[in-house]
Amino acid sequence: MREASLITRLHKGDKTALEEIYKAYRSGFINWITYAHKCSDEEAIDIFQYSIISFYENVVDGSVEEMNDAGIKTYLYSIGKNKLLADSRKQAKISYQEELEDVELIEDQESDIGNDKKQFLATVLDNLGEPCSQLLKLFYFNNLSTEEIAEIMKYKNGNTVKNLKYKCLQRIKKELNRD
Amino acid sequence: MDNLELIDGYLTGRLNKEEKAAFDEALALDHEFVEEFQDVKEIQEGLRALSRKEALSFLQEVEEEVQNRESTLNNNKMKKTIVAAASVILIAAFSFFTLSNNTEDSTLQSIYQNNFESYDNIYGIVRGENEKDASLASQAFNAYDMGDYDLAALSFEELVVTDRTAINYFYMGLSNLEAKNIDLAIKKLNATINNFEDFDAQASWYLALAHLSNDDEEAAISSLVGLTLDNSIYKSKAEAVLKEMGLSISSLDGGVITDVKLRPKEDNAPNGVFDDRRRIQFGIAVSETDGKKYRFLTDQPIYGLHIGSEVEMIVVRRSIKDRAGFAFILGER
Repeated sequence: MREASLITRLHKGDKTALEEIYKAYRSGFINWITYAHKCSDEEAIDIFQYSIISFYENVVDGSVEEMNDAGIKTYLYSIGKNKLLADSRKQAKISYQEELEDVELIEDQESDIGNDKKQFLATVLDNLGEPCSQLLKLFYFNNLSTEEIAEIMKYKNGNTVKNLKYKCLQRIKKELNRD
Repeated sequence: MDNLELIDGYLTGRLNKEEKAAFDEALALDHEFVEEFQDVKEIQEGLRALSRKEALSFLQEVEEEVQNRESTLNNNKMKKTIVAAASVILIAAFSFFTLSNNTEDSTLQSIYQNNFESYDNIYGIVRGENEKDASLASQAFNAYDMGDYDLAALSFEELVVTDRTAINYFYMGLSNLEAKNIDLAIKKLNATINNFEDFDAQASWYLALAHLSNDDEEAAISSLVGLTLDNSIYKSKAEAVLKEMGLSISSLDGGVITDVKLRPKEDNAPNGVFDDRRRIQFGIAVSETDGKKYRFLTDQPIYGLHIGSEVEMIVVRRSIKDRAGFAFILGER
């Protein structure tokens, strides 16, 4: 079954699966959301991309089991609908201008220090290089076992991956403590 | 299990009960463990954010590619269609010899039965221009959802008087198809295709099924071949049905129109003018390859087609030996 293997492939971080899903559901989704919810084309594309990413995340964290074509479609559409609802609630909030400003001020102060550290970590991860980047993403994002990663990255076995992974984490820690 | 394994196990949801207890204990008592856990957890969050970011920029590339393709497609639609047709023929030619003539026992009716699946109403909340429309629309969609197809068909019919949209026409067609009012279904689905841009593929697919249910092979073929030329989720379904009908798309051909008629007669305005009636076009084309005459009939007229038009066409037939085939006209040269 095409859909079954699509979800498996998506779980394994196969980009072509992401592309296939994107192309297969794009025009239907956009037609639907622009019609049923009166969005502009750009909004529709944003929401569609958001829905695909959410779907991808739900696949990798295991909350989506195998499903058929209609299942994927319904799933995507419900993510899109919820996103729209959430967005419109946010919009409604914006009209309470003062309230919003207050909240923003507090948030800014609180998260400044944390944000710097986060930003630095993001830069380190961005420049991690291979094989660490792929390996760690497959482990910590795609939730794959070391054995599964060994198969994808063509390593001898899960143990090799485990060792590599340890070294990659050490590399990150080293980079983080550099200054 | 070492510390890192315990932490990884926790972060990827792989700990059993005992391991979870060990994890909790370490977290409560071991200061170094807590620190390492914080570090790995932050790294995981960072990697997740990175993966999301990369996935999103990848999707944006795909989107750009899709839009570029669409614009070249519009610029050069005919060329594109022919390329698509050629690839369909390649596939068809490839599977040609594996097709046997096994259609004796599978009638068009049973092909319809095998392939018909109710179309889900995924629209949920329905909005209308005014209060009355909104309640009428929700009544129509509710009836459709509940399987009350006759009521749905009637509600949509009432609805389109004030809210003339593709979705309403499409669902009116579906409701009639479900309620076994096949002729009405064909009329409404045809109107969806010929008056709106949306729901083209869906309407063509259900129109093909309606024709099958009506034992109208020629009309079904046209809708199906049309679907195989466009990339929609119905492409492979249409290919499968054509195969089930024992048909092969055997050649991309050129030809000349020797007879062509439009129904309704007076209608020769391509777009713009709304028309609720079923529009069809039929006639005869002579293949320039074998000099034979082929009939064609389509629910999607090509306006401007006249006797003497030189066209690109596809011939669909049961087998190579069988000379009685049908033509599908792609367009004028």
